[in-house]
Amino acid sequence: MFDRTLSLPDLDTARLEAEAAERGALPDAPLAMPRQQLERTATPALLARLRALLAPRLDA
Amino acid sequence: MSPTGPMRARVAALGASLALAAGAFTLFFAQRQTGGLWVEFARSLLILMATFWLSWGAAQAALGLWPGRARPPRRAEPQGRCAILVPVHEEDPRATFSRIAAMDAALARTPQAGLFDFAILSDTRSAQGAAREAAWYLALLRARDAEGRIFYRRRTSNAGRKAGNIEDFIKGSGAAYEYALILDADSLMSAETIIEMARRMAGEPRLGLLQSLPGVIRAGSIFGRAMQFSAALHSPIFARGVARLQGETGPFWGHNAMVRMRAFAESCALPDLAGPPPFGGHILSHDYVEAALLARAGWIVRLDEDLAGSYEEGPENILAHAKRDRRWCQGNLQHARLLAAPGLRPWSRFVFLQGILAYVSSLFWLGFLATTIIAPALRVEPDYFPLPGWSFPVLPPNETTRTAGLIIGVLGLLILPKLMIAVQAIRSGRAVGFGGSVRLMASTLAEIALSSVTAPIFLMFQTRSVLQVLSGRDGGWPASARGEGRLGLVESWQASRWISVAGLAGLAATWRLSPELVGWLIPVAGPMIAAPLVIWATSLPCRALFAVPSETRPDPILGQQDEVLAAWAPLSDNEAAHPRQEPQHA
Repeated sequence: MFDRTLSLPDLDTARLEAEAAERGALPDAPLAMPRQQLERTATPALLARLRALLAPRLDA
Repeated sequence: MSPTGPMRARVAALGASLALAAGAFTLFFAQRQTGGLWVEFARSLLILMATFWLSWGAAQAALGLWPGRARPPRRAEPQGRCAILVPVHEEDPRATFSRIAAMDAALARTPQAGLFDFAILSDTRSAQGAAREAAWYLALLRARDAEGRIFYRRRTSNAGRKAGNIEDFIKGSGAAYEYALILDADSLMSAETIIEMARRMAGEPRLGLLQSLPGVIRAGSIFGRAMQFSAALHSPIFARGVARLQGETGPFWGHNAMVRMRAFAESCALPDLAGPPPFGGHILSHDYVEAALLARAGWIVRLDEDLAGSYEEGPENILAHAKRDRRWCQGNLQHARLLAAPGLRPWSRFVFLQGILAYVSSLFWLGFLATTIIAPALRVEPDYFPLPGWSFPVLPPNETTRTAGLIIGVLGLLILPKLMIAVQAIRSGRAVGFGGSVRLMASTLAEIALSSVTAPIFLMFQTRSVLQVLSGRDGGWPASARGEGRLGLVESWQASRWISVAGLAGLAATWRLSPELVGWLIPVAGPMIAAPLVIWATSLPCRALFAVPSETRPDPILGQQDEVLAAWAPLSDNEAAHPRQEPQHA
């Protein structure tokens, strides 16, 4: 729709971006977002249980 | 029986699709040629898979056309606040922020104005892009007097791309809001629709995500307008079919959807997958996965296709569409890693499989075409009297009959649903928005003709995408191509000459191996050979056809955006950043 290649020769871009960042600052209201598990992994607990199950038989 | 329950709808759609696929397999394998048994079996198997995919699409249309209304959704006045999130990545800030200005102005005229904030979440990396965003953000603040209400933040790291961008917002600011309306840079929604979505979220406390059906707007090319027409006429019907199939395990298409902030926060922080891209690393098609994770956590994910006033812009030419499709292809194939993810609902797994099939089906069709060309070459001399003592000859099957049967079947599954939707629109009065019955039928036939010509070209682009992903090539994160999409002949030729060569090679092979099939292959090989011309021609402007309701009865929000754009049009980037001093009023 518009030309994206307009030049900004006389702009102090650092000052401009700093002003946008300051005036646009988001509200400070943190919310926890726990990482989800999507891939099946053999957990250490499962491996430990397997070892406990097999060890007496292997030792015998 | 009214297939309103998702389970009944699923059984009906799956049953019909499997039956048609089995019918196609039987037609091909029972009537196999003598000789080349494995090729015949492979061909029958490929047609089974391809027919299933076509039938599945037709079944969704049939479900959408099935009479019966869903119960009206529960609604309540929203109490909590809503953040309207606009993630951007190397977009034109003037166009993007004009949409925000229009939506903000529309919301400001409602009693619920105080409930909504906007947050522009930038992942732009280029220095010039960042400077332009900052300049136009300051212009937006001035135009809307919106400091403290329209926020702007640019990340220093693009970790997680769009999903990571939204996650960063939630981690830093999510507790300030009850809901988030997730938009794309080209999204535009009416204030009434935004407020209605918040009411529906408030009325159903288990609702984790509410997806609207975005209509395509502002298309100008032949290709873009055909897509816009199809989205306006066909998509509501297909979407109703999808909604009936999916029930409370609905879709998320990544934008024009409202989420319950706490549901999204506790369910949707995506991990990176082990290994390198394209199958490992960041999850590309994050929206499908987020919908599955919300459902896994017990939240309702719902598509309300009746929500009007929700818009987006679409690709204006075939190359822009193919570029976007390359990204979607990689994202969908990556979901193969998640089919066995722990705890997902069975339907979520099926949706992943469906997304994979959407791209892999191209390989089925191409494989089917290849084996069809090869099969006659493997033919052995038929035995007309295979049964001892049986004095009547057993005639070998006629290849032409099978091919004709196949073409009739394919056309039926592809074209019949579109014609039925057009007839339904005429009978229901919906045709008025498309310029009346005559213009609607003319546009429908033109869209069918155009999609028939472009289908073999998309088949080739999709096949290339699938093969690229399977061979381990990562498509990266290109910026979306928006705006005017007119292409030059040279550009079209350079991008698609390989399709022309493939079409010519296929036709030559058919001429050599199965000359009786040359005529049948022309509808596929012809558009492939002419691909550069088709791509160029369909990018040209068009006004005569494909009228849609957003043009004949435009939503006021479109006019509001036009007003903002008109006011901003004379401004250069410099003037957006440094407004001329206006005379002070006493």
